[in-house]
Amino acid sequence: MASVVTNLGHGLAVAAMRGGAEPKYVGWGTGAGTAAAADTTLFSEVDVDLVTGTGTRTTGTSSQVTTTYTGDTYQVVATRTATGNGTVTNVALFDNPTIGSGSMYAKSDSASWSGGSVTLVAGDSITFTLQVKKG
Amino acid sequence: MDETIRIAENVTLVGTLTIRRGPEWLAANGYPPDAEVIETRETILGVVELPVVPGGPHYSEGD
Repeated sequence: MASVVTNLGHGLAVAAMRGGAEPKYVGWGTGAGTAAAADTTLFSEVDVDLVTGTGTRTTGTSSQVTTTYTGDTYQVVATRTATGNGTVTNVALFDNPTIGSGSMYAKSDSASWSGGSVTLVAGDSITFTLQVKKG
Repeated sequence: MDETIRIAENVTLVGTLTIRRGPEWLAANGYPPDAEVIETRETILGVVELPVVPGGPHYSEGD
């Protein structure tokens, strides 16, 4: 079970704070594995049909919200609606909308989710609310 | 003058997955087509330390 900020993600975090590439693109995968900081890809990233390994990630809506101190949290909200059947086992934030491109900022495998992986059929959706909070 | 500036001491990643079931799932599981079935899953994605970057913006507790 693991969820990590990747090695590349550290640099992206700094870039985002400075107005650079923003890691607001959400992708999901169907493969097995434990997330590690050295990872640069999802486990078997797929498009919304849960089969095809190419396509487009979902552009999230990013905002600066408050958890403890004013504006201390970077938040991305994105909804992905499945057009096919499959099981989502991992999710990640990227700085690029195209599957197979860009740098991965953070990654989480389903062993760290309450309830584990999520089996979807066409028409089901997941709204991801991902927060990066200082402190 | 201290030229070493911290970006952040650490960050916590938190995630919520809100799953909404569609018509195909509802039919297969005996729900009426207009039913709203929502599951929520939460996760602590991890606590990590960001690198100290000389010359970067300064953040400290209470900023």
